[in-house]
Amino acid sequence: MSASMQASQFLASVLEQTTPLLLAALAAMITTRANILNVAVEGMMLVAAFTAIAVGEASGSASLALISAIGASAMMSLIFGFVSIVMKADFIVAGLGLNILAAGGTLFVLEQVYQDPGGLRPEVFPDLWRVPSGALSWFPIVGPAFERQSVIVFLALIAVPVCSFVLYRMPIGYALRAVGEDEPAAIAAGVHAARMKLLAVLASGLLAGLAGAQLSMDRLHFFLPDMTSGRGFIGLAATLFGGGLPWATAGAAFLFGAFGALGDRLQTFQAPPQFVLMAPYIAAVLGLILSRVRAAARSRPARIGGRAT
Amino acid sequence: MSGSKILITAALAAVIAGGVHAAAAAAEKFSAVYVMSDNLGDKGFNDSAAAGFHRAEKEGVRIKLLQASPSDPQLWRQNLEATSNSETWSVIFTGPGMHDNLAAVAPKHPNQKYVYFDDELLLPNVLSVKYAQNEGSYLVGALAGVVASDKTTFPLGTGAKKVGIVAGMDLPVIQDFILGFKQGVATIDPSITVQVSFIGNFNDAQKAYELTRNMLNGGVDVVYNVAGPAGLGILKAAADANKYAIGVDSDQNGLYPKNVIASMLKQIGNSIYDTSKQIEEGNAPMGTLEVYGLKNDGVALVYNDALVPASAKAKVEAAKAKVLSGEIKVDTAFKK
Repeated sequence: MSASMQASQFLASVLEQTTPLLLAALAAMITTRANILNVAVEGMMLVAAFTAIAVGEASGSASLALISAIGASAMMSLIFGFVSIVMKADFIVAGLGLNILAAGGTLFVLEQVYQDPGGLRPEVFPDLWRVPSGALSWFPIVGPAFERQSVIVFLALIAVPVCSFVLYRMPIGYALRAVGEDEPAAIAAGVHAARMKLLAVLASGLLAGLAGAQLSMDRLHFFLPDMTSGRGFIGLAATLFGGGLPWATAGAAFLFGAFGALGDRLQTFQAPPQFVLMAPYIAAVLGLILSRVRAAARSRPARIGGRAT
Repeated sequence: MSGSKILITAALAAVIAGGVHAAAAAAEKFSAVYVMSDNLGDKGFNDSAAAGFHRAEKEGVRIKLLQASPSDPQLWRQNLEATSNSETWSVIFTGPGMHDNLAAVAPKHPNQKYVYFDDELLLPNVLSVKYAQNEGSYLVGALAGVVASDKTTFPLGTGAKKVGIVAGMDLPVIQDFILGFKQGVATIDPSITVQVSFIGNFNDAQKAYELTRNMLNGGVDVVYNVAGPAGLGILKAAADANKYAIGVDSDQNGLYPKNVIASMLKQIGNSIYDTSKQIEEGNAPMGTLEVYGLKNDGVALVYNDALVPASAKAKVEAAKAKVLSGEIKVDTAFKK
């Protein structure tokens, strides 16, 4: 196999592994900017992954499945918002509760509706729109990596500049960041703080929904309990690593995705699997240490753990 | 106050009455409970176990399967303690991942009989049941070796002489699969390379898909699924790449009939039915280890007849005969 083909395949793996992490990271980032540490991304993703398969099976339409998945995740985010913002529960407790609800809820529906708690695997499942094979072969290495990738991969890539634009170029983004950095000051300036926080949580639900749909719909076409396997938390780590900045967060997500893809390849070279499987987590820990060093160097206003004192 | 007291007393009375009633019912009828560390519906290990319980149920055994989330080990322990304390079950079955829990709970209930399958725990009231997955995997390895060396019979192969295993975690029982597989491949052709990748858990189907695709891109012709529920991702990756895969624990040939050439079955259901029967009849060898292997059909290979012709089967059967005759002893990860 030629080296350029191998490079394309590696890049394709990086893209696919990064997509759910990137979306989860952006989902956590947007609430972080409103001063909410969102640990519920994992649960939102799981519900979306399940809804995608359930609706896709029932309707036979991939786009309907995708929209429903995002909708279901948005519903979860609104529950999170209601409990934590309207009812003023602790964000962490509410988020962890939501994750347990998602894990138990999907299992409950599998058991009660589908009589199969092991998972939901339709015989036929509609495929998402994909870049046709050979359409991008004129662009060396990078082109073939994007061939056969689903629409969700592209939505994830577009989400980064969109988040950046909304946060830094639109009034609503200013208001959202103002709430995150100094809530009383923002309220004094006439910003509706609770509304801004709810908006951030809802946006996070939409992004987490895409992430969950990618996991179940893109390649696998089935749902398994706990199939998110901690990706929501890796996304959260990427956000903390990226200091809540859209492009830095995306960079962190790509770093984790690249470590994952690299690890997969190292395994076939008989590297000890324990160390290879540690790679993304070691990257996460190193990333967090680096981000703390940086945060200490120049104090960022929207840091985690409450308002700057 | 007095009203609530009466209510509590009434509730207590109901609970006690219920308990007595359950105990009385248990005395009449043989009963078995399976304390699980996973959920049903994996179309594999757990479903095979459930089939054995349902077979016993048809013959009048009262059964209960206590499922639990694979990510909630506390619940497994609670279920084991609750069923042991209730003293209403003739026998308690439990399986993978329960070694330490059973080692802690079983000595406290010396009169309760336990069956511990897929692993070993030597206690006087525990009957351990293990499967010679190394012997079954040896057959799988032989079949994979045939696939990798015979491109005319298996047209999806590349002739690159590479085969692979995608496994869940690096556990002794999984190593047992891998050792047997490698030995089986080597009996057909020692020059074939065996690649091994680990997912790191048994749920991350996306990771399983990714690892499998990576192997297949690298010229591997057939991948053996040793990954429990996540293994569905392995089979899907093989189907998407139009290469071969081999299933495990239950007959997975029908999931992707053009790509899954065979499945290695531990006859978990049969062993559960058999041990339940033995205990009911009072002749179970408690405190010992029973091994279900090639000799007593405890492990077997189920072929996808549309893909595997008789000539290929004959080569695998020849490899099996060598084990049965004692000419070859299959390596195991469990050193005595």
